[in-house]
Amino acid sequence: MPDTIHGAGIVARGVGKRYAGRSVDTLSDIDLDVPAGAFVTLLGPSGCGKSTLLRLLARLNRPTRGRIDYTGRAEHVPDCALVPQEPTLLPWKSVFDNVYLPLKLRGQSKGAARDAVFESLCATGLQDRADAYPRELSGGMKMRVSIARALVTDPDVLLMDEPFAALDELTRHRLNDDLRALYERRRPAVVFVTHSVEEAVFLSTTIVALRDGRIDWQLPVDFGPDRTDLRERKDYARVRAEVSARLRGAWTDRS
Amino acid sequence: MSDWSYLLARPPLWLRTALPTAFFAILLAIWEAVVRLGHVSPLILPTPSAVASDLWLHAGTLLWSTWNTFVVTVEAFAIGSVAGIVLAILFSRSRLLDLSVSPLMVLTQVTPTVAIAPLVLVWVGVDNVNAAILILAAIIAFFPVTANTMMGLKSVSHDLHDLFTVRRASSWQRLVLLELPAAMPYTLSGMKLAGGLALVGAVVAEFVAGSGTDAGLAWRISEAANRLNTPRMFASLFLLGLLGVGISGLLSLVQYLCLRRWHEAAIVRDR
Repeated sequence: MPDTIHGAGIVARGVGKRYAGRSVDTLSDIDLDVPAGAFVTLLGPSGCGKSTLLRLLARLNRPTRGRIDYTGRAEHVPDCALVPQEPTLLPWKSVFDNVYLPLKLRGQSKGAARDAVFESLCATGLQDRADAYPRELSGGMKMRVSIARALVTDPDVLLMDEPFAALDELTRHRLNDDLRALYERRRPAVVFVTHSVEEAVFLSTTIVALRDGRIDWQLPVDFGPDRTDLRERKDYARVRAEVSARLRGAWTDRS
Repeated sequence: MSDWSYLLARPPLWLRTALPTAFFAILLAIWEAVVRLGHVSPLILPTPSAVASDLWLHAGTLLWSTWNTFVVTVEAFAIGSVAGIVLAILFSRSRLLDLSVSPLMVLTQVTPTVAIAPLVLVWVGVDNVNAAILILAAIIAFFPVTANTMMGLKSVSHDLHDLFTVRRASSWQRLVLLELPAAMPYTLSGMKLAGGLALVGAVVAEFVAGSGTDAGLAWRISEAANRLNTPRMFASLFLLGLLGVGISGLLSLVQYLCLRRWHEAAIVRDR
């Protein structure tokens, strides 16, 4: 059972986006439900609109059409955290101070935030690197700091834009395992953008495939919460093959 | 790579001190010999020993003037730096202000100090020469701080801006926690330039506006030139050079201390 059950999700209805000066829509007719506690992966080839959709969900851009609502308790403003593709840490701050940043923005003092920061650092295996500076860390470590920073406020909604795309396979597997464990412990609503079929199947509760700015298909992934040995299981290989075939089919249709 | 090339690629402090000192000593020895052997008149080019003697005999007056020039330089540098950073923040916040005021700012830089000195002197009053010198020096000093800080404020990563937006940071938090620290390497480079320019401004302004109650080094040089006292001129120039090197060294140290933990410019990579 998760330690915390969050009550916020996202509902998008009829969402479209056309950037200024462009003649075609980047996104059209997007209807998407991200229920509280779901792990939704946006999968698709480059340029299909995954990152644009994530930016709309993060409210960094406004949709040209349709609406996006955060669902949840009426009196509660949902807390949203973003993990960008690059770790984007403040290079002049230590690991501790980088993770503390979201709490500082909320006006929390360093002393009062110490426990929450250390909890987040421990959860991402960074407890021994609290005093290090970003330039002293490997790519994988930096991404861990970025995730620790996102988790420090125990967010209702976690938005991740291809966070492991630049990492080697071994580090990526390890971070996928860690992310999955963190998700099970805290159960925020997660929207995760990726190119990787393997990553999408391993992490998600639902895969949403995008093609040419539209949702092409959605697939629930029901492997349950414990996925420690999932990569060795036959049903995992079967779902991976199915997702790959679906994507190949989409590309074949287009070509 | 040979040992010597390796040493030159990453010179230790002793080498960085020894090389210019040795070069300067050799230069002085040649200079002394050339004048003593009668190749150049001592009236045109005094011997280094004559300059040293003048410096020793009039140390009190010359050091007092050095102090006065130093104080004006520091004041002009401080005013220029604060004004430069504040202007850069205002310009980065308001495109309208940037477009309206920037051309005027450039005008203050392309107009020589000597040309505006008489006007500033009229404005502050001829009995307020010290204020005129300070204003002129500050006018020269602020521009590199503004230009560099603006560039730094504009160079903040879009992803970091997004992060602050998603976390609903206020405008003030964004400025203090993100933009100003990110712009710091640029601002410090601008301040390093401003330090040298403030000194140049202080000297040029004193030449043009004259000296107030506290005579600076420019006044000493001017006075010595009128009396054809070339050893005194050289002694004053030597102190001026020393002051410039000291200010530049101090600002380099501040830059290093501020950036050493995180900025590429201050980090020496292992080989």
